[in-house]
Amino acid sequence: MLQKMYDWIDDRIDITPIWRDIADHEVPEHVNPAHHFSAFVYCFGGLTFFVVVIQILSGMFLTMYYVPDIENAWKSVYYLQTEVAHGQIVRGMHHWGASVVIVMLLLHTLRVFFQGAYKKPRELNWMVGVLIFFIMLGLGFTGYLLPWDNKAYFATQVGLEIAEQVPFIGGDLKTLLAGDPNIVGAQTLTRFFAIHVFFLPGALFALLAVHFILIRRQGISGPL
Amino acid sequence: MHKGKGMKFVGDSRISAERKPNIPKDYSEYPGRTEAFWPNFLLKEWLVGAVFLVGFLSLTVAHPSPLEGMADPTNAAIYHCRIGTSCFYTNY
Amino acid sequence: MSEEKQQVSRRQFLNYTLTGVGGFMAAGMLAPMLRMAVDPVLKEEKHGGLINVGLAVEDITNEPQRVDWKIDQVDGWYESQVSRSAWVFKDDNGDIQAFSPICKHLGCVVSWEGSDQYPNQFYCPCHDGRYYKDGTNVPGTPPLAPLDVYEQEVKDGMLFLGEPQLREEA
Repeated sequence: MLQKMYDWIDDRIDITPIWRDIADHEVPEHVNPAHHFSAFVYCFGGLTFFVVVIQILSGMFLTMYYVPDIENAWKSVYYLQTEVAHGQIVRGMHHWGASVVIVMLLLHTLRVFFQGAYKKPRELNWMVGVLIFFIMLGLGFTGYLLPWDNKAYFATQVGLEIAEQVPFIGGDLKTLLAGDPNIVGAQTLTRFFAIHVFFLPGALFALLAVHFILIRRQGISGPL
Repeated sequence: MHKGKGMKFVGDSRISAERKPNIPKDYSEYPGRTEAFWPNFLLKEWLVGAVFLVGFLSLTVAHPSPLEGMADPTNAAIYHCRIGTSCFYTNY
Repeated sequence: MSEEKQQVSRRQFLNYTLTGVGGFMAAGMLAPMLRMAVDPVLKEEKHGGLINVGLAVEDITNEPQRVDWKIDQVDGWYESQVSRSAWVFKDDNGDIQAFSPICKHLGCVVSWEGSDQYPNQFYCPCHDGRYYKDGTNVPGTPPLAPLDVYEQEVKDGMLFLGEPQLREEA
C-alpha cells in the first residue's frame, strides 16, 4: 500500500533522487560513538537542532493560547499554565528549551573550535553558525518579555537600556525595538512578539538551511 | 546522472522513463571506515536523541516554568536594577 | 526455519528500529502539545446556574414580552458580562414559556410580531423566517427547527433562566 503510493508519486515527479540525496551518504568512522566513545561530541550539533525542533513545535502550540497584548498576555499565560491540561508542560518545554538550546549551541561551538573544524574550507559555515548564535540570543531576548510578568518587564527594561548605549544610533535603536522612546508597553510587546514569532524564525530557517547544505557539500571535518 | 541521447522520458517531462531500482549500496562491502547515514548512523543519533528527550521532559515535568506577577512598572522594589545602576548579574 | 520465510535484512531491521525510535521521539514531543491543543474539546462544559432575569411572575402575560438580562461569561482568561434575551409569556395552560430569540436558520434575532403582515407569530427579518406562538417553525419558511427554550425556574415569585436548550419535539 505504502509502496504503491510511493511508486505512484515517484512515477510522476521522480522523488527517489531527492531523498537519496538527503539520506544516502556515508558517515566516516571517527564521528561514530560506537567506534570511539569520545565521538559523542559530534552529537551536540544534532541535539541543538533537535531542541530547535522542540522549540518550533511547542511555540506553534503555545500561540493557540497566547495573546500579545499587555492587558491579556499575562492572563492568557496564567490561564494556559493553570487551567489547560498539559499547558504547564508545553510552556515548560519552551521555557527550558530556550536555555538548553543555548547550552547545546555553546557545546557544539566548543567542539568545532577545539577541533579546528572551522578552518579552511569551512570558514563560511563558522560564520553562518555565529549568525545562528546571534539569532538564538535575539529569540531568547524577545521571548523573555512575552509572558509580561514583572521579571520579564524589568529584564527588557534593562536590555533596552543596554541597546541605548550603542554609540550614535543607540537612542533610535531603543525606540525601534521598544516602539516608543520612553514607554515599555503595548507597542513593545507586539513588536517583540512579531520579531520572536515571524522575523527571527524566518532568518533562523534560512540560516539553518545554509548551515546544513554546507555540511553536505563540504563533508564532516577529518579526525584529530 | 544519465543525460543526452538515448534518454527516454515520460511524456514531455524531464522524468526518465527508466526506473532505477531503489536499492541503495550495501555499505558492508566497504568495511571499516564508513557507514551509511541512513539508517545506520541516524539510528545511533536518534537513540542519543531519545535519551536526551527523556531527560529533557523529566526536567520540564520536575520544574514548572516560573511565572511572576503581572508586569507592574511601578513595582521595581525587587528589581532595584534600574536605569544607570550596574547590577545586571546580581539580581536574578 | 524454512528458507521460504522472508528474511529481514539488516538494513530493514535498522529501518524498523529507526522508525520506532523516531516515533517514540515524535510521540514524546507531540503528546503534551496535542493534549493541550485538544483541551477545549475534552473540558467539561461549565454549566452556568439559573439567573434572576428581573421579571416577576405576575407580570408575565399571554402576550410575549422581551426580557434582557446579563450573565457573567468566562471565556478562557477573558471574563465579561454578556447580555441574553428571551421572549417570555404564559401559554394557554398557564405555563411560563421562555424562548431564545436566536433564529434557527442563520442566527439572526427574531421578535414577536416583528412584521405587520404576520400577526401572532415570531418573525425573523433576515430571511422572513417565522415561528408560531408555541415556538415551532412555520413550514415553508427558512428555519428548520423550533426556537430553543430556556431552562427556567420560579423562585420567590421571580423568573430565573438558565441555558437555552434544543427542543426535542418539532
